[in-house]
Amino acid sequence: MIKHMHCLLFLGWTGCLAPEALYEVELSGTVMSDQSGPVELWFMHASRGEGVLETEHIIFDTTWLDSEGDFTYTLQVPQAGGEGLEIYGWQDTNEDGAHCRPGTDPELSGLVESADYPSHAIEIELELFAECEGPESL
Amino acid sequence: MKWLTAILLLALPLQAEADSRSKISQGATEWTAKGGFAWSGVAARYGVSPRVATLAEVETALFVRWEGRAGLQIQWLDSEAWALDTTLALGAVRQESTVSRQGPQASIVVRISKTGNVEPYLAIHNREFLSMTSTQVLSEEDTTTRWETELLHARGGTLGVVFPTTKHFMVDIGLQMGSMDSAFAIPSFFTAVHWRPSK
Amino acid sequence: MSLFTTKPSTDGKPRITAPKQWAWLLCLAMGCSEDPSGFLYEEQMLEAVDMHLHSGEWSLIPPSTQSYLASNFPFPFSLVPGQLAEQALSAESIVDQLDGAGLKQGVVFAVYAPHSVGVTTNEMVIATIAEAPDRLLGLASLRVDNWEEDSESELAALDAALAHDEMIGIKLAHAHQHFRMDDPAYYDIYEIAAQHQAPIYLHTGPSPFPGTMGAAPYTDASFLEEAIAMFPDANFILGHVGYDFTNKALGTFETCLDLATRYENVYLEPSALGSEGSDPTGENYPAIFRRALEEGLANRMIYGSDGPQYPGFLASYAERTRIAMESADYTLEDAELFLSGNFERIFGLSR
Repeated sequence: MIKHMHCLLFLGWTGCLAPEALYEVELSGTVMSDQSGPVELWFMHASRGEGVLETEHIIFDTTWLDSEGDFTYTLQVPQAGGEGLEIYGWQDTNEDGAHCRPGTDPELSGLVESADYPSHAIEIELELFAECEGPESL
Repeated sequence: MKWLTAILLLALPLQAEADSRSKISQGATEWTAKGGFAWSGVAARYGVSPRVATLAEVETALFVRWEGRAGLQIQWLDSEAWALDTTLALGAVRQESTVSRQGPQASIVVRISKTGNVEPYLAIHNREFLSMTSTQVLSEEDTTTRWETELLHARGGTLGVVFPTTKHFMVDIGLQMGSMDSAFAIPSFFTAVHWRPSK
Repeated sequence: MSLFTTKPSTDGKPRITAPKQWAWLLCLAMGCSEDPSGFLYEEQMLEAVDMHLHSGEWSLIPPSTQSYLASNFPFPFSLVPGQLAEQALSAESIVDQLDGAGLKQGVVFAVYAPHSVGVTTNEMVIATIAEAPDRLLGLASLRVDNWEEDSESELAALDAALAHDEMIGIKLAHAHQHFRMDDPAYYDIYEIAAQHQAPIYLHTGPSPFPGTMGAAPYTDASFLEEAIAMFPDANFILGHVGYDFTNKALGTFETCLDLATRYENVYLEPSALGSEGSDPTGENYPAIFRRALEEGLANRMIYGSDGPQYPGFLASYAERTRIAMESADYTLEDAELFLSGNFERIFGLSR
């Protein structure tokens, strides 16, 4: 028996490292705008961190819509990334890939925070009303 | 050169009758304790036949990364001048740190040593580590887990010397260089003590 | 802040590169200090100032960025990254690296970027400088989170920080701090800069750090033009000259060059992009010097490295800078301006 005891030195690993947890949300809603054109949506945590590292509007996903109007999107929200759910959108009216490039006409943007999160099915209405603003200014 | 001479002088008066470090006799058991930067660990070998030994090992880097393995050591050559052996092992890795890793690992070590009272050796190793990360998706219907894998390797060599201090104890000093997780690693050094309670 | 530059390997994962490996080993084994003898160029010893350095605390870096940085540390330091980072970011280590590179002085940045690279407060920078006041200077910064409520107090804190003699300018990083370059709500910062005659260093171009903004209004220096024009008494230093670190390309460098050509109060600082990890072919860094000369902007270029990164980085960056200047046929006069003359002129420091 003793001569085989060395086999006991091989320790099995029971219990894995904690997986990254993603919370799935079926998002649907309407983007409202007086302009027309593709819309980029940024999906963000409303806040994250404590003390000196406390911050807001933490982007974890983005997508493009062909235009304003109704949309659906499946989100996977990182649970360790922060709290809350916000959606920011800006409209690329001139389709140059940049929001309000100097020398171009103003393009609209907007921000909405979901009151229903966490929920696996969320509906939102996002109104693009502000000219050339980032989420930090809305 | 001076330190090499000192080691040789230290070893000569302690003429041990131990087996060479590479070979372990059938029915004999060897226990090892190792310490150094960055690796520490314990291991055991058991000679199942004149040329084959089983082994098990647990080692840790800075007590943050843990690796365990079990396998077979096969002695290909054991002459008066040289010894050559290969160790094949399977095991696992667990590292819980700012960068965390886990997963199974397969390794092969080819070791050549100059037999004698003082045995310098060169061991070349290749460890293939399948790093696995899991993501859990919580949807309305259920919770699904998906795994992603990444094959990483640790390749390099160890240059060392083993010398007996008593009939049953040997001291092993080595310098290990190579890669870890497919990236450059700072060389490590260790001192190990091998104990063979009986032949 | 970029503590360590990296280059993606074929699988896209950042990897420490070969010269850094030997730098790690040599510096660990022998130390990296040399007597500060100067920056050798064309057989002349020149004074040089590195205007882009970082200090800080590991605990004030967000977890995602800690993981990013740790993955670039060589094993086994990647297992205990905080210890190594704290040592590398200390005043002693920074001064050691300045000595090793032959640099007279270095400028340490305050950073308030909780989204991305973390926080190094003005007070921390002042304390770091105090450990080597003859070798270190600082740039102050401010939080822009929750600006609508906190702008008044933050601007007051910035003003107070600039009252310290050793805090000679302002550091902003729109991509790291998440505020648009063209948002007039933040222009009071430039007002304070003009009042203090404190040049403003601004990060331009995309950044590889987790949590940084990639969108054009946060990275493209063309979005700064309105502010540059509105504040002619403030000097704007375009950091990294719009370099695209993700694709290792010149990115919006020509935009930065164009702004410097059209506005007298614009300066160019090509830090970090000249490292082996960011410019592996060694072609981009000299191209920047060449273009600056072609546009007659030798008097607008300012030296910075974005160190301390890894052991020996400042010396490595200085050497690559020497090679780049030689490749671009920089004269001794051009080099003197780049290495210290332009810096001392716009920061009002006597020679």
